[in-house]
Amino acid sequence: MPIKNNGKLDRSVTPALARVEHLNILRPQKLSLPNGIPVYVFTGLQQDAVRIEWIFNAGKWYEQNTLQSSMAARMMKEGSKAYPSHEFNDLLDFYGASVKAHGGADTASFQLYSLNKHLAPVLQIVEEVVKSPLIDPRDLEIVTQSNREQLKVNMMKPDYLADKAFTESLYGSKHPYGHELELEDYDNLTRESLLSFHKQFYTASNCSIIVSGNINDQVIKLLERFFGGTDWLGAPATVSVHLELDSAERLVKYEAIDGSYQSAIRIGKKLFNKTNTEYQELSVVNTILGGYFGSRLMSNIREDKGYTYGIYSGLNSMRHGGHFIISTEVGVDVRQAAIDEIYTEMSRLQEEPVDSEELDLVRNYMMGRLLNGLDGPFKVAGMYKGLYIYDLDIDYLYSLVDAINTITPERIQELANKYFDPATMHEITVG
Amino acid sequence: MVQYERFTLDNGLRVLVQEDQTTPLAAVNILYDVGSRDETPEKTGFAHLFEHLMFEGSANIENFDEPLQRAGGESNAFTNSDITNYYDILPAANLETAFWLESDRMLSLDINEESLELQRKVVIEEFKENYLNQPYGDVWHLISDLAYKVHPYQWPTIGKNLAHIEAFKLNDVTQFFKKFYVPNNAILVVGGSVTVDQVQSLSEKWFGGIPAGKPINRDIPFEPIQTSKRELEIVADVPGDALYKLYHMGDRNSTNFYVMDLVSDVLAQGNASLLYRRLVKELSLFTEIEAYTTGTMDAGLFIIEAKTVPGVDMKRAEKALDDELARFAETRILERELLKVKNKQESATVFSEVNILHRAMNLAYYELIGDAGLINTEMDKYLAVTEADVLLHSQQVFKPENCSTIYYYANKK
Repeated sequence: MPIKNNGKLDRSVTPALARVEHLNILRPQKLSLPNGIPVYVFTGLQQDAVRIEWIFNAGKWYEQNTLQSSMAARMMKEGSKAYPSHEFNDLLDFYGASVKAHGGADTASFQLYSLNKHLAPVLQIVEEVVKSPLIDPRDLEIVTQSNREQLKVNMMKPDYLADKAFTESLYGSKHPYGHELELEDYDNLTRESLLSFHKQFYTASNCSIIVSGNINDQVIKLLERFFGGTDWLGAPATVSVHLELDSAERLVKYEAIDGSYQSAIRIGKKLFNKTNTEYQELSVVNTILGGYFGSRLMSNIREDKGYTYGIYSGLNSMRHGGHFIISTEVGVDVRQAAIDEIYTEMSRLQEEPVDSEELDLVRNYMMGRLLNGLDGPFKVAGMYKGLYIYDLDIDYLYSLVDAINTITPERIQELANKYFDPATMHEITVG
Repeated sequence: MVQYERFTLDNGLRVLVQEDQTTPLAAVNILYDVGSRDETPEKTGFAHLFEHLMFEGSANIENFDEPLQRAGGESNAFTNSDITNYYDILPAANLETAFWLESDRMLSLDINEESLELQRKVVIEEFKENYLNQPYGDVWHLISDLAYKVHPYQWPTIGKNLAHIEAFKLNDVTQFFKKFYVPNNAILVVGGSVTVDQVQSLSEKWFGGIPAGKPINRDIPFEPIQTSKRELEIVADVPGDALYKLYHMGDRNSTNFYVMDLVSDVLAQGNASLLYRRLVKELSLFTEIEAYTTGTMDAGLFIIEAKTVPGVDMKRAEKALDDELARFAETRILERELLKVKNKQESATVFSEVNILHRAMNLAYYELIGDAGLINTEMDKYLAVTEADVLLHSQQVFKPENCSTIYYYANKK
């Protein structure tokens, strides 16, 4: 029976807390299609839904010309010879399926969302677009025009300009990780360069598939039927080498924009990716500094000073590198004050050990986030994608749990001194 | 089928429980039946500012987020013209922490001059970031103001202007809290790895002692029927010309909503849609075109927005759009076209039910608009739409005198 409240409740007493001690992470079932494509299966969803993600080594890293990766991916949403743009999209709509295509730093991915009951006809439509998209000149023209207009809008936003200047300062504008788009990039884009990029990199030898949702044998059989053949074998992508800008020299740059209401601030430096032995511990240090709503940066710059609507810090990981970045937009009149406070918080991490109450909170918070980020096959599959492209496995997450639970205040201070020294940070402000 | 249980406490708080033992988490969602439509024209933006204040601590709790994070949880909230919705997601073992936190801030807030000043500053930065410091950022202000002359939808949730946000006093906070933040004006949904008994006893324990407030009598004026077309021309520092056409339509519970929601998909959802094919692909008049409904609790808007191809005359492009809409309202659409949008809707519904937080939010909203059971039956309303409905409702909505148009021109320097 429910307990009736008779006014004697003591609200000043915090309810007892349970600790998330360990995680029980869904591991992938690993299969291979007859042509060798590795398939990672995460099943157990109650709903009758499936997500299939094809991942290719076809990110910006492999480009010869800018835009090849993102546009080759984008044009897969515009159909194939048998199902040109209108028919392709019309049929997907008809079956209530949807697709997403994305060209990232290292990989490109094509995602399909479908109900199980329509998967067979949907995969038949999707097969050709994955293997040989049409890239119709008129469709390309339309997509290019729309992207150019969007880019013009972005070029008027201080946050976009600050991001662009920041990544360029780290890697150099010629480097695949450092180049952010310019309008001229679209002038040099040709259909032929997209077709040849697709032909070279979107092959079975260069592909992995992550399947999640409500997965039965039928789903695997369909994948074998449509994607398991040797008709699109190709060759694995060869690793290219790109020279990075030597960004050891600290760059501090302020670009004013007349009439701007806010300034976009980016502070950070080049670091390493998640395979580095110190990455997991550093991610705890980052969380304390600016990785969650209760972080030191948010508490100080938003919740104490009211300079901004939000401020975050993060560790960005790529296959061949990584960096640390703090991002915020603040009122123009408090620009310098905000920058000063950011450095104050970094110095404080270097100088004072974190007290146990704060560290305890961050531990619990990070464990709760992990629990949430691994809730259900779709989310685990997403998390897994972020591991396997670095040749990491689910075990990585268990060692992250260890790092979260065992890092000491002394170690945090040591890492802050090693990596978060204000004197080594690039600082870009726009607006 | 989403299974749930529902009960009401003596103080009027409605509670829904959605058990799902496959997740280790619990989602706690509290919807307050208050939005920017409950504001007065001289004091706009307050419902949203108030949402920020709800995180500034309550009678027995100094800071809302800290204990929740310590419990491994996270929270956030949003405000729109109709509702203010708060949610927490945390390990199910710590469910009671969310009850403690949410009930304390419903019981009594702890707001002083300092916290009001601080969140005022934060909201002003939010206003600048989203509405002033980017191209077309003011368009929601223009849309609301042109389409509504009487109804409070004439201002956006962020508020008419910065001056309104600068002017709020502590007294406004107290009054607003007393009137709207009462159990009889709220809906609590708890989802995830919980049981009905557990939620029932926790609800009684933490919320049961909070006194009910006075019943809220809303006196929101009806927007009169628009009888002649309205136009607004804007010239601003934006990269290209944009066209916005706003048509009055029915409220979220009306048949008109379900029909026009499907119509927006037929017209402009994706590359296979009618307007994309004709106006973007064949005629090269627009670079992109979108159509959507505002889906508000009082009569809403059907909005079409499009960006013209550089060099194309906006009025010429608009004429072609008008012709397409007129033709659409005269011709029966194909059975297959209707089946297609219904299939899309079905799929969207299934995918939206994967996440426990989405389920909890949806349940709270459906309960608010009259029937939590809509989470399972709303699809039937879409399935019931016929070709004849599409024809009839399109004719009602796409009338020239029912339309307001914004011509947003790029400043040619």
